[in-house]
Amino acid sequence: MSGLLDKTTSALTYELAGLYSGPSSEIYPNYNDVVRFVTRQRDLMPGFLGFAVKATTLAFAASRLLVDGSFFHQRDSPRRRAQLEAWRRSNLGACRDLMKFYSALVVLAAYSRPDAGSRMLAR
Amino acid sequence: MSQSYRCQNLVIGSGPGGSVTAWTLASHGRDVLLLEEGPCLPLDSCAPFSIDEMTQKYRNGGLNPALGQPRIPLVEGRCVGGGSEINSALYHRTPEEILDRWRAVYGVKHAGMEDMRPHFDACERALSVQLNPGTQPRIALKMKLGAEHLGWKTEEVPRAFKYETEPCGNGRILGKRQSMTETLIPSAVQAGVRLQGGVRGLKIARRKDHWNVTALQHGARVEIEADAVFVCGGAIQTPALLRRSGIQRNIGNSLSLHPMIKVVAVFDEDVNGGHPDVAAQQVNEYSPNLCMGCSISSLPYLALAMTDHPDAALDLRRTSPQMAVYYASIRGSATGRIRDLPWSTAPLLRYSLAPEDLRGLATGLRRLCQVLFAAGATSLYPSIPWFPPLRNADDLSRIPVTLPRSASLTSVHVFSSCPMGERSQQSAVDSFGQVHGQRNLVINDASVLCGPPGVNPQGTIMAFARRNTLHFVKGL
Repeated sequence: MSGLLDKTTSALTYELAGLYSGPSSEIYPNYNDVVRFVTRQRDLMPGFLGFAVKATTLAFAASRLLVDGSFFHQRDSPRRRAQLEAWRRSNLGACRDLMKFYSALVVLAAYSRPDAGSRMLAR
Repeated sequence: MSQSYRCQNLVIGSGPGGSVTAWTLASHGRDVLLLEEGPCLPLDSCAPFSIDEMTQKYRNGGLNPALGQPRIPLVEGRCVGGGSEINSALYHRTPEEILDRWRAVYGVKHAGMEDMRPHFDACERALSVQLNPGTQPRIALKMKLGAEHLGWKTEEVPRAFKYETEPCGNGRILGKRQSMTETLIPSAVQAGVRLQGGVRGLKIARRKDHWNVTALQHGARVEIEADAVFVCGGAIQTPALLRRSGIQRNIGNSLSLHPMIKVVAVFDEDVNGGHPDVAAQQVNEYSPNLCMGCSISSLPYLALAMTDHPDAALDLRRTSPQMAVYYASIRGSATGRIRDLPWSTAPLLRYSLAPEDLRGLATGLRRLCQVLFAAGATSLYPSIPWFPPLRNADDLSRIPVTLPRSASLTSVHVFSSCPMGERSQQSAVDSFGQVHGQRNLVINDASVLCGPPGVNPQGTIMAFARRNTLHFVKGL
């Protein structure tokens, strides 16, 4: 389970960072520092809230498993983005809250990088 | 075997309330032990309002929402100096009408403006509270301009800051925040206070003639004996500790906030120098029920505020100098609860905004947008997900009468979880912070305020803490 959680967190962070970053001069931009920040902050949450976030993240990872036959981190970028959009606009508060939670952490960390002012876009 | 300490007066928590308490007690010759759960870090261990600060100095990394609708993230400091190490150091005295209301509704004695004045004066001297002697940043000047166009009251708020004597290149005079680790903590230690960081209070129990506090210090159990205990852990941790200890009467039932909604304003000229700081201009036309001011507008916080507008497609690199974040905050009328969970070290917080608060925030948002358009803003992005940008004053009619519960709200001010007063059916402590029915147990932090003061609360917390401590010292 923790393997799936880590892979989902990483894929989600990369997708959100890409979404908010716009075109990059790098072919494979590296957001590992952002992933580390997101994971560390999530681990600092009170235990019962951290558990709820992790459980919802796993639900997010598997939410289209029966339709696509793959977890979130195994999908290509367009299909990941479609799922992100669906959860951001969901009628369920828990889905929107999860996207808000990760978006906030990713944006804070990504825009805090020394080179952020030179290549980040707000989308 | 567990370690043990003995002291005359134990202070739990080293934020503004705890620091004033420890300093005042030590200045009167008391043997004081000051405990702090978080680490002891200098003010400049990290940049202000940075992600390093979140990790180092915020409780739970800054991720501690109150459960309810909407969920409101609450920020607390967890380090020596508490909230003063992470706040904007804006300083207000408690508005007189708020003091009068506390006296009338809660029966708080000796808390009129004349009673409080010497305590405000002493705290202001200790913290070097003053106006910025240089030029205000443009973000502040825009707010001032907008208010003046509308004929609304506006003022620069003094701050706990020490300023350089000479301006830097752009005319601004740089300064340093006067947090507790810069001011009262060193004074307290010099006066003899023993400071222990990394100690978490678990339980308080009354023995025959003293209090016994069980704590954890770096994972090891510690027992502390004290004649008197001052609980100063803040409006969330203080009631949590007392409730764990079985002291529950009117404790943790009335948590109040200043709920806040933000707006990103875009101007057609540069206003934002990208400084990680809060500009000190506020609009007080509707104070204390509604306060409008400037928020952190560094690039990360601008980008964060824009996450509610994923379709905006603004190039922040290009436009961030023309953008700034502003806020409207109200005196929330709802109250929340703090409860312990047996399997968790963190308490459960529940707080839902009342319908009148949602209406108040919508009114606040509309008035803030009025100010910003009057200041020359060309677009406004309120922190409501997917809400279309407002382009001119005619668009203000699109702001709903009641804010939707999906709005992204925050609060950095929490209080009133153990209100003071002589009416014991509604208050947890007496007029001077003494817990009803408990001898030599005093609460001396934001918990004892009877409700939202409507202004940045540090001045109120410190003045009441000094007053209560002096009453304790002289009354014994």
